[in-house]
Order: sequence, then C-alpha cells, then structure tokens
Amino acid sequence: MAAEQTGEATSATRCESCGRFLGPYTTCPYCGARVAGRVSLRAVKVVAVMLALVGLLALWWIARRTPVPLLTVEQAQGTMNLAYVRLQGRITRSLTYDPASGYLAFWVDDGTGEARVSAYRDVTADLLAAGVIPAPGDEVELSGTLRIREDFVALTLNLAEHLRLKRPAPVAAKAGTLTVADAGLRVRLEGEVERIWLPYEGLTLITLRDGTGEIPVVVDESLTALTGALPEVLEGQPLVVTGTVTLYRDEPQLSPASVADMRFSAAPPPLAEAQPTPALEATLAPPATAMPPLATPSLPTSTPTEIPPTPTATLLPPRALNTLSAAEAGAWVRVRGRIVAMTGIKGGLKAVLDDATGQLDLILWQRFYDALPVPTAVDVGAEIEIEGELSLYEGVLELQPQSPRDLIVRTAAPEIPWVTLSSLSAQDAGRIVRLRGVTGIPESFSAGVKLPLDDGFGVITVLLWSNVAEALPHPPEAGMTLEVVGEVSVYRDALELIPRSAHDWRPGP
Amino acid sequence: MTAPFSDLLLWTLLGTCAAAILALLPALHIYNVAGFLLLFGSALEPVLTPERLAFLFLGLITGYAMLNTIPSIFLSVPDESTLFIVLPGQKYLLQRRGYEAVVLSGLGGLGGVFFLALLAPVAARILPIVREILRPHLGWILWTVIAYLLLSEWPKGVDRAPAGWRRWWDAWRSLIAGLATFLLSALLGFILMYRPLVPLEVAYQNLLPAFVGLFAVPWVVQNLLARVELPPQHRARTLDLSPLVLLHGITAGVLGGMFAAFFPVVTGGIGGLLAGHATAQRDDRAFIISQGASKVAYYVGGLLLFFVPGLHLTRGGMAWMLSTRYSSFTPEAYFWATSVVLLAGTLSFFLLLALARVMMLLVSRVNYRVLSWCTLGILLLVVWAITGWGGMAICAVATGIGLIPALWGSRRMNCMGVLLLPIALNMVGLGDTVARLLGLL
Repeated sequence: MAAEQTGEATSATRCESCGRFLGPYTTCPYCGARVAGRVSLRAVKVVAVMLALVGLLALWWIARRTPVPLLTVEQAQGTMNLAYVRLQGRITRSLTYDPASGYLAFWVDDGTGEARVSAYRDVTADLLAAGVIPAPGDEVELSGTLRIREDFVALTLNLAEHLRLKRPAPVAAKAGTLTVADAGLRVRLEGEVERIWLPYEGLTLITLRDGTGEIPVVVDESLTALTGALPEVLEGQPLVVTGTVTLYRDEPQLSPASVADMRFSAAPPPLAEAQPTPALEATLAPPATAMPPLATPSLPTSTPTEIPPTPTATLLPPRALNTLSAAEAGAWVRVRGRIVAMTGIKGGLKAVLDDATGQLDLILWQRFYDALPVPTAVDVGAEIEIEGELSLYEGVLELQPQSPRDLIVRTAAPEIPWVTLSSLSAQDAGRIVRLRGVTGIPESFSAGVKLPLDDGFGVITVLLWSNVAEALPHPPEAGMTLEVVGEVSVYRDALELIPRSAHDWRPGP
Repeated sequence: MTAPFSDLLLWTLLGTCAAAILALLPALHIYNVAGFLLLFGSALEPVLTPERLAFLFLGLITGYAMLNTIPSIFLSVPDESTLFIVLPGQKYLLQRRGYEAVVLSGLGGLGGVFFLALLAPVAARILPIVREILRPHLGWILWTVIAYLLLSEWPKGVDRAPAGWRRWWDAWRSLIAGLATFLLSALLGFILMYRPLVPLEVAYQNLLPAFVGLFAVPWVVQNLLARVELPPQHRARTLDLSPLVLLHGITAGVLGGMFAAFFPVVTGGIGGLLAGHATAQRDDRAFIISQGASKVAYYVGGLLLFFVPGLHLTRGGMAWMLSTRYSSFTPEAYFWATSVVLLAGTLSFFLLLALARVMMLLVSRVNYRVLSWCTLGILLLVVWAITGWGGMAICAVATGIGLIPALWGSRRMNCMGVLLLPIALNMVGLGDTVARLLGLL
C-alpha cells in the first residue's frame, strides 16, 4: 500500500512525457512538454499578493470602524488579557505618581469592581501638558489595554486623549456630617486648621475643624508632584477645601484634586446653604471674604494694588454662584468673587469667577475689556463684583457684562509671576506667566503672527492670534525689548507663549 | 507550596503526556490548549488549583517544546527545487533521514533542559542583575535585531537572467519580498494590537489566526501546490554525531533561546537564527541540534523565568496566561519547577522517539496530499473554533502575507514583523503615534 501511494505521489509530480521529476513546474524543463492539471504559480502569486494587500486594507478599514468594546470589571477574565477595551467609572483612591519615571496610576470603580489604571512616561506627560490630572471622585471614561493580574484587573492607558474626566461640582458640607456613606462625594468644606501631621515622609494630614466636627485633609506627595508644592499652612488658619470624601480604615477623609483646591479664608466664606444677606449686598463695602491663593513659594509675587471701587447708583444683591442655574439664562444678575483663571478667546477673554460656593464663566469682550480703567487689574487673583446677563453656551452658564460700569474691582489682580525660560517645561502648559526678553523676526501665518522671544535663558515662540496682533498699537518687530504675559502652551513638543489680549504685550521704553 | 511535590510532579507529567499527543496536531499551539484551560478555569478550580495549573503548564510547555519537532519535520516538506533555501531538517527528510533529524532535535532539547537545570542554582542571583543592566537598553537592542533580520537577507539571484532590469529583479526580488513581508506583517500587527477583531472573550488568542496564517498555512499550501514526493523514511540505529558538534549545537541553541526568552517579542526562531549566525554554524547537524535546544530554552526557559525568585519575569504567552492565576516568589517553587522540568524533559525525549516512529508509519501509509489537506482542515478548524469568523478573515490575510516569502524565496522570519515592529516602536514611545496615524487610536 505504501508503495502504491508513493507511486501515486510520484506520478503526480513527474513528466508524463519523459518521466522526470517536475516539482511545481508546468512545463518540463527537460523535454519541454506541457503538464496539464497544475495550478499556475503566477496565479498563486497574484492571489497571494491580492489577499495580502486588499485583505489588509479591508481589515484596516474594518478595524478603524470597530468601536472599542465597553467592559465592566466584573466581566473581565483571564482570557481577555491584552484586549483593548473601554471602562467607565469613578476614581476611588488617591493617585500614585512617580515624577522620575513618569508613572501615574489610579483606581477606577465602575460599580462592579475596581481596576487599576496605569499611564507611563509619554502618556503621563501628555496628560499633564493638557492639564488633565485625575483625582479621587472624578468620573472617568477611558480606553486601554486590559491586563488581568492574579488578584486585580489592570488597564494601561496608551493615549492621553483616551482618558476623559468629568469632575462633579462640589456640594457644601460640614465636617461632622460626613460619613462612610458619603465616600466618593465631592464637597466643599470650610474650617480652621487644627493640626498638621506628617505620619511619614511624603504624606501630610491637615485636620480641618468646623463647628460640627473635624476631618483630615490628605495631601500626599503624588498630589504635590502633580499640582504644585504645598505652601506653609499654620495651625489656626481658616481654610476652604474642595475635595472628594475618601475612606481610610472606614473613616472619612478629604482628598483634594489639587493643592489649589485649598484656599485660605480670612473670614468665613459663603457656603452653599448660606443665603446672601441683603443688607450686606446692598452696600458698596469690600466683600467680607478675601481668599488669596495659596502662594507658591518659588514664584515671585507682588502685593495686590487696591483699585478704588467705582460707585454706582443702584446695585443688585450679589448671588452665590451655586444658586445660579440654567433656568435663569437671560436674567440679569450680580455676583462677586475671585478670578481664578483667565484665557484668551476669539474676540476677548474668558475669566472664571469663584466665590467658594461655585464657579462661573465671565465673557469679557475685547471692547469691554479695553474700556476698563485698568484692564490688567482684572486678571487671575482679582476680587471683583460684576453684573451682566446670564446665558447658556454649550450647556455651560456664563455671564456677559455690558459696560465697564458693570464691573467693580475690589482687589486688583496681583502681578503675574515673572519667570525665566529655564524654569518652564511642558508640565507648565496652561500656566499664565510673565516673560521679559528681546523679540526675533516676526513671521506671519494665516491665523496670526509668531515670533521668537529670547530671555537670556532660552528662546520661546510667542504666538499672537490675529485678533491680538491687530489690536497692538504697533506691529511686532525684531529687536523689541518687552514684557509678555501669556498662557504657556505646547505645540509639537515645543513651548509657546500665547498672550490673551493686547494688554499682555508690554513693550519697554 | 501547599501541595506535595509528588502531586505537582504528577500534574507535570500529565501535562507532558498530553502535550506529546497534542503536539502532533499541526498548528495546534500549546498556548491554545492552555487558553482553553483558562477559559474553563473556574469550573476546573476545585481540582485544578492555581499551583497545580502552574505545574501542568510546565509539563505542557516542556512536552510541546520537545515534540513539536515531529510535525514540523514530517509534515512540512518542501519540493526539491527549493531545497537550497529550506532548513536542514527538511533536507534530512528528503534524504530519508527524517527520524534522525527528529532525534538530533530531541538531543538539542535535552541539552536545553539540562542547561536550565544547571542555571537554577545561580539564576536568582544573576538574572535580576542582568535584567537591571539590560532594562534601559531593550529598545535599541530590539531595533538592532530588526536591522539584523532585514540586512542579513542576501540577493538570491542565479545570474542567469539577461543583463539589465531583469537581472536586477532576479537578484533583488527576494529582498524586496522580504521587506514587503516585514512591513505588511507589521501593519497587520498594528491592527491586531490596537483593534482586535476577535471576540473579546478570547482576546488573549488575538495573534493565533495571524500566526497560523503567516507561518503554518503557507507551508501546507506550498506542499499542496508542489505535489511533493516523500521518500520512504529510514529508522536509524546510530547517529552521525560527535560530542563536539553536539556541544556546539546545544551552546548555540541555548544562547539563542535564552536571548529570546529574556527579551520581549524576540521568538525562539529569531534567537536560533541569531545564535546560528553568531557561532558561524556550517554544520547541518549542529543547526538542527541548536534549533531543538533553542526551542526548549525559549519556551521552557521563558516560563521558568516566571518562577525565578527576585526576577518574576513574565515572558511568553504561557507565563502571561499563568500570571492571571498564579504568582511564584519562593526559591522552593523555582527549584521544584526546575526539577519537574528536568523529569518532564527526559520523559519527553523518550516520547519523542516513540511518536516519531508513529509518524513515520503514518506518512508511509497515508497519501501525503491527503495528510496535507487534513492538516489544512485542522488548522482552519482550530482558528475558527477559537476565534470565529473574524479570526478566519485575519488568517486569510495573514496567509497572503505568509505566502510572499514562500513564493519569492525570502526568509519567512520576516513575518515576525507582526510583533517586532509594533513592539519596537512602542519601546521608543512611537507605537501610539503610528497607531494614531493609522487611525487605530
């Protein structure tokens, strides 16, 4: 039988004419006879190439349109290892961050279990540059590579854009009322620093006490590495802290998302449940609450300049920001607070007002801003009262004042910190800084002008959007000595400084 | 360790025997079998505890690494017109010495097992240091491997074409085919890594259809097209082998295999190739022995690295799967693992001899085309059963890519671009950028 089959195989591969072995040839190389019934090698080559190219393109096309599957932690199992999946949930514990390696990790609870999310150097750098810094209590949606470990589920974040954060608005609370059931709740607490304790290197616990009880505020080294150094805090200082209630051995504690979420309070600020006092609101007296930012020791700051308030005939009572709602869109309201952020937008500036109960976007159109007595007094850190029309833009409430009389500066903004380029890095993206230097040759492009600025420590590109460039009294030119304020940005791995208005461009004499 | 040694040894030997049978099924990789065990892990948990599972995996991987030589030598037979590019193993088969090739490979594997045993007393002291030294350099080392893989191809023209473009094409077509294979495989790898097209429940088998398509199916298709003639095989009673050649082959194989086991992404084949070139091998016997040793060092050594105290390195699919259920930290576990591997390796060698004879009998009694069709059927059935139609589509595309080196005479190893390029780019931080450019992120 073996011989027969060997014979079959032999006859199939031998020339019918001369009997010699042919292998894959369709024409006998010895006698030239054509062999019938064989598959053309050329056809096989064409099919192989087509299959490879067309098939690969088809797979690519399908892959691009295949949504990343949503997975719950409970569903995750060993056989899913290395799958690319989506996860939705809430960050439940403090972050782990190693500045040296760029490793960032946090735990996400989706209601069915917890997964550890990790990001490595490049992704972490992108997150920091974009100002996307996760914190306990944040609602997140992210995609990444699933890693099933022996005792937990892990997810590796491959791309910064694949992490979406939503930070819930804080609610006013009292220390004594918080319980285990409040874990995950984002709250705003006001109290007095009772004790500052360092259980070990890298962890600071600040016990905050109010009339109802006390609660520890957790500031660990990951938080300070990610959001800035913890300034000097003294026992007895009044403090307003916004953070998420987390648990340590079933005891509630408060985990702020940023060091900036801790603010000194010279006097008790209006909390959520505190209703405005008409008698106080009707006066022109400076606001009872002054909340200077926790100064970062390493940066130079200047003493705020007092700007005398402009008297007005009649004033609406200021409203607490957490009492404003979308239903009031179109209404004319008055609010007060401190400007905590200000960025340039097309046609003007957008400021974020914070009154310790909530935040509100202020739209300051260029004409309005230019008409202010001292425009630069209205910047980050300024204490103001402002009235205008409430409107809703893309689901976010904003206030638009109409004339300079609608704004009263109670305390002028401190001077923006002056820095040198040697102290700036990609992690400063989003910061408002002040630089001094000499300009290089300007270069126009479709949306504005950009030019280099040399401050003796390095060179940075200053980007003037067309609305800012056109508003300058004199066009920028090479060799100018000037001071520029602007927002640090990263474009193609290079730092840029983007002035927000023409007032940020301050040529020297 | 909670279970007694005898219990764990029993599970190891059970794994070895199971692997010996399963290894004869072409293209059924032992990782697929391990995956099935994981899939039903919770149901089997009362009996198959994580500790037992770990030792069962050790038995499976040892048996597989030793015995998968049999189908690769007996079932992947090239025709004589392409003899100059085939591995010496197939050359032996066409010289009726397939059994001898299997034994040589088995001897290499046995050498690899003994090396792993010799490494045990010093592994915990040396390997963590080696890893720390190498850790910052993995990226560029991997790029060097890729460069070597691509640059070590050589023009294979026969100088018979007329001068001009046709002669140029005659010389360069294999090089171009090699580069095209590498790049197409890499694109396939990117797609599979960032947007798996297999069901989520079997994501760990994401690369199975690609590997079957890139490596296994083209061999079978080539055999079917070529209508190869398989000569009757001779069962040798002696081996044409000197101790020096044996030592040479084992040393080269172990070097390559351990390199592959230690480095991410580098497979045993690449490790074997590098070691073969590094030791300037010209001897077919040493080459076959080195391939056997390399496979064992790569597969078994890779899993044993998972047990080394203070190292806990997860390398290879088996270790990754095991890491979802089991961790090992103690020297006791490592020494037990090494000792059961030693026993399983020895058992595997004798199983190899016996089953090689069975295979000789099979190929002499069953028409080779029928055998090839059955092999192809099994391959596709395995892919379909595990990964469904999505996997079949990937397998079809991968087959197209895998046929390119087979049809244009370049190195099949270029198909490893499916893993090498995406991982190498990831290591230098560009993987996600490329994936984003491809629209996969």
